[in-house]
Amino acid sequence: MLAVASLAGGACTAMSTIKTATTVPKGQNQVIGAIEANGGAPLELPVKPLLPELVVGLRRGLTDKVEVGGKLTTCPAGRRATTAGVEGEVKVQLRRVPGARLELALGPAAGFRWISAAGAAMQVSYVSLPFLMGIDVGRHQIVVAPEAGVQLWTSAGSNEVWAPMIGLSLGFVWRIGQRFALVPEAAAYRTDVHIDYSRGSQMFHLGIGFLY
Amino acid sequence: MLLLALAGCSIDMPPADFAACGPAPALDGGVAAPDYWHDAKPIFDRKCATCHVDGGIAPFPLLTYADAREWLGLIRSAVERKLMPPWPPNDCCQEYQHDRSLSAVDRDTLLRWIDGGGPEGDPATATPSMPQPPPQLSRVDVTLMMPTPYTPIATEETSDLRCFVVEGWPHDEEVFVTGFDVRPGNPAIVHHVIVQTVEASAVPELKAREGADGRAGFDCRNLRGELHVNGGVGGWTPGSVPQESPDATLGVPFPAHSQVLLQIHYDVRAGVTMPDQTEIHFQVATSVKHRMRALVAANPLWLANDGLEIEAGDPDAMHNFAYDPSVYFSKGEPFFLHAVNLHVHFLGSHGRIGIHRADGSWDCLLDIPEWDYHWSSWYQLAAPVQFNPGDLLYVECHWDNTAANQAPVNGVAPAPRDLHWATAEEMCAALGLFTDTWP
Repeated sequence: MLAVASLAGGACTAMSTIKTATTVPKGQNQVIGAIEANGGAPLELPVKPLLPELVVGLRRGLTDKVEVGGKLTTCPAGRRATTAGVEGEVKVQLRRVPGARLELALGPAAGFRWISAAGAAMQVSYVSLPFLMGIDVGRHQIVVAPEAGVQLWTSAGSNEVWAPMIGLSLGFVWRIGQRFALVPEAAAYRTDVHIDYSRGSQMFHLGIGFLY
Repeated sequence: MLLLALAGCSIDMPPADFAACGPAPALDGGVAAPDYWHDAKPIFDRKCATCHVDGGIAPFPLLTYADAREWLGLIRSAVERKLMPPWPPNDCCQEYQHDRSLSAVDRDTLLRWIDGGGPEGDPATATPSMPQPPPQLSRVDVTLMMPTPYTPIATEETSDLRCFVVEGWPHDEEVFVTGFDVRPGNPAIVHHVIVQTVEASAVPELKAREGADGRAGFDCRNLRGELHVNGGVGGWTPGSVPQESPDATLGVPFPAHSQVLLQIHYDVRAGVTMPDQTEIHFQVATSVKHRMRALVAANPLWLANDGLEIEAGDPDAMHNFAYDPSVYFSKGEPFFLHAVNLHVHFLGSHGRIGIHRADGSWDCLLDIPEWDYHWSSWYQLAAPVQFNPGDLLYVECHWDNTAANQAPVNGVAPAPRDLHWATAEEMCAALGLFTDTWP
């Protein structure tokens, strides 16, 4: 059971990760990359990390206050666990005042992830809405983001499972040079997904990404 | 990406001839006019007297001509419909050890004897036979019993999942359980027993939980993650018979420095609150030729929310799943399956377990055409089946959730309701015992 449970754990995909509260300037592109680990478990059980996923993406400023972007994710671990995902995201700057340290943005995202483990497959579709609060610390930025979302888990031979989620992420945009930044990030979520007698489930996300 | 998304959106199902029987072999007709002493009694002794004895689990004995004569009509019906002896697997799927079913010849003989009026015949022509005793371990090395009786209570889910630390395991080093027999103290309410091992260092913490609610043992839902509970060494569901590996060929490891933790699910839908004091018999060896391990096949999504939904009124709800266990269980190497078990609860109607080979062919491991929870045994394969990397272990369960198939609660059949994966509702899982090497 533990073995196949890892397939379920694979459904615990993080949503709208590697976040900042600052939109990309109009007409500019931003390349992103990351390595992430996600995990999930019933509230009563310890959470164990799963295989890491690799992320690459591109963001582009449409206006000075709106950016769009997309990401691809994968974990190429063969028959043990292979994932492939795509996510589209929009970010709308709500507040950015010259000289002020607080920036606010909304970053709705929608994605799909395909997970294959030991010849069995699962699909995860999701939408999320993080409220991004950036606190400038010199050139750097602390990003605190309460987030709400819902995931839809599907698998052949099973009914669909809806997983509403709320959570909080904490990241740090550590600017190195003019355009490059490292972004360590952690997030924790609570869902109402229950297993037998469990009261719900918890999920976590750890990642470190870069922006360029 | 779309192609990736579509991949795996369906599970290949077994072909129509998955467990189909070939043409029935021609019967030679046997004796022209079967009688009790010469023909029927040997069959009753071999196949029925294990349970149909005074004080046995069957409701009446079948040891004498008078016994058989009294129940001729019932015997005919049960034999014709293959309800007795209870042996749920489809004959044409796989060969098992300890097969309780009647051979075609025995069945034909009994039916012709009954149709001929059930003559007694002459005791002088009796075929020598003796009633078979109930199956039991050939040797018992360790006997453990719940320290005190426990009387379950009906919860709102009419189900009580209770754990008991049973100290007294006499071995401090790793040994192997080669034989295993659970004796439920109260079969009317014991729904399952799982015998787990727990590190001796964790016993005080577990013992401290016992009696906290004024009753023996402790509530142990979702226990695994909280405490140092190791894997199980055996389990029991209604219909299980003692398991034994001759000559210490096969054994389940019992870890060093460990004690036994019993997890018992009491089904109290009938409102029964009688006490239970379950006992476990073990046969133990210090070494075995092959270490056994257990595997489970169930879609993990079934465990979550509505993943395994069986809608009220659905006469044939179905869920299936397939995966390659070698990826996790044998690191990509072949392994050998020795026993299978299908786990479904009360509303199951039929189910099957098979192997979808990497070359596209199918092998049937277990096919239960008419599911009866009370006979949900482990089935030991007559010969181990090799499982190769790329082969998929397939499980398929069906349920009848109509009003006509509801299990009574306090003697009253409830209205159908949507059911999900839960100890007190329904489940679907294939279980297997395997070794990495054979022979």
